[in-house]
Amino acid sequence: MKSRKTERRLPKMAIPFFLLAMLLLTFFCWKLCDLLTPQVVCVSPRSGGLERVLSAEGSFADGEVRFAVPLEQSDSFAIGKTVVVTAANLNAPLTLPIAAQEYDQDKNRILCRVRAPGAALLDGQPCAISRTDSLGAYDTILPAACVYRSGDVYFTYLAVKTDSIWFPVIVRKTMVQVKADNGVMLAVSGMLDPASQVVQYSGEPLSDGMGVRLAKTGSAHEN
Amino acid sequence: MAVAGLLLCASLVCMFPFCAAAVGSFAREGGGPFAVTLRQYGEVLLLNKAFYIWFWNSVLTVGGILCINLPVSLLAGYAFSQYRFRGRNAVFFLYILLMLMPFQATIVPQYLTLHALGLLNSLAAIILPNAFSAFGAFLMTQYMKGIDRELLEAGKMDGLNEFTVFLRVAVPLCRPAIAALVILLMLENWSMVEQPVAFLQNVALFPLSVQLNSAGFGAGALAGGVVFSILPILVYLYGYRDLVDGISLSCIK
Repeated sequence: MKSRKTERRLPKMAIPFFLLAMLLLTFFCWKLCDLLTPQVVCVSPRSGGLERVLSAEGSFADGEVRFAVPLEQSDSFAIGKTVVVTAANLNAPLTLPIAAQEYDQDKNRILCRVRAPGAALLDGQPCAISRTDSLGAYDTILPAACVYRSGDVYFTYLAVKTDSIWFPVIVRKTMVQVKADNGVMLAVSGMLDPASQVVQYSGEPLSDGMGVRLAKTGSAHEN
Repeated sequence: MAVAGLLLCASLVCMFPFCAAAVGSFAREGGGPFAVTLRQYGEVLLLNKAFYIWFWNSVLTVGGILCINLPVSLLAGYAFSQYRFRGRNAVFFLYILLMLMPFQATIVPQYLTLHALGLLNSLAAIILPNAFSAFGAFLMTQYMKGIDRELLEAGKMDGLNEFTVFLRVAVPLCRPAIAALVILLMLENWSMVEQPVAFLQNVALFPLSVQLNSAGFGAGALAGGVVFSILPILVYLYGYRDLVDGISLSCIK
């Protein structure tokens, strides 16, 4: 039988060493989990007017700028509406009304003519024509990258803070209806408020309820 | 020989759950009986932030309880053992009565008190009721009854005041009892389940003992259980001699 004096005892530092090891593991685990959680960039929706910029290429001949636009844009380029003409040797863009419009049956398009008498343009010189249309005012405008489409259904992912210890931030799939689209920005309606954090870019394909970490938050105004 | 056999059987039965958990924590899913993997430990220790939140909650809870309970118990034990005052036996009887009360009998008053103090759903809700448990005072009283009064009187004759006598003479003499109390409180509170479940709602405040069987650990629950058991085992291995001394000396007073 061992005497009390020869009884072996656990080293004094065993418990502090264990706690220190757990502390180091805690920091390591925290960093690792952060690295493994996909990062997302979010924006907040903005409200206001949504505009659409239409552009076409044309050329100058006989004191007129002639250009063609797709048939579906015929209303935007109706007679009397103004367009902005820019060319290489023009000091400033010209804002001119459309003087004539005719249907090109062969190519199913609209041919437009803008009179530019006295403009410093040469015959045959290429010009760029653009027109800005207002699509109206909307409460919720998002970058097009925020909105996904599956068939006829449009949806977006919202970054939502939770009480979960595992994932303090998760994404929630939210259905939206697209009201207007200018190719870069979309006006939508749905369960979004101005403070919502809508995912614009993510490091991995997202799914509903997925844990993420926020890389940066901004406003749709920045886009 | 028969007694030794019985004790061996009983210890094997007691150890079986932990051994099964320890073996299971190394088992590979779908593998044979000898397929060993550290996957569970990797998942728990490297990929589960919640494990550490709960682990440190447990450490904080137990640490808080010890930090409060130990001085309170020492002071109460010193008062009960060294002073003669009216109502001493009645108060001590109340202490024993309180100690014998199961938690289930006091859960409603405790809940109402914590609610009135606005402490529900905070770590204080599980630290404070346990920090003032009567067991420590009882153990210290029993142990301090055995302290030779002449030692304390000698201290006073050397010019020490009452508190310094307590601090410089009585407390060092109580080292085995203090160690026993630390180990017993640590083991008891490390595995507490009822109080957190009753007084806490926020999962982030739960100690590990409550969450070990949660769905959060998945297949790594066994590894989590093994890691959870390491600290109590270390504390026991470090202080078992003091534990035996402290309890036995308290009992023979």
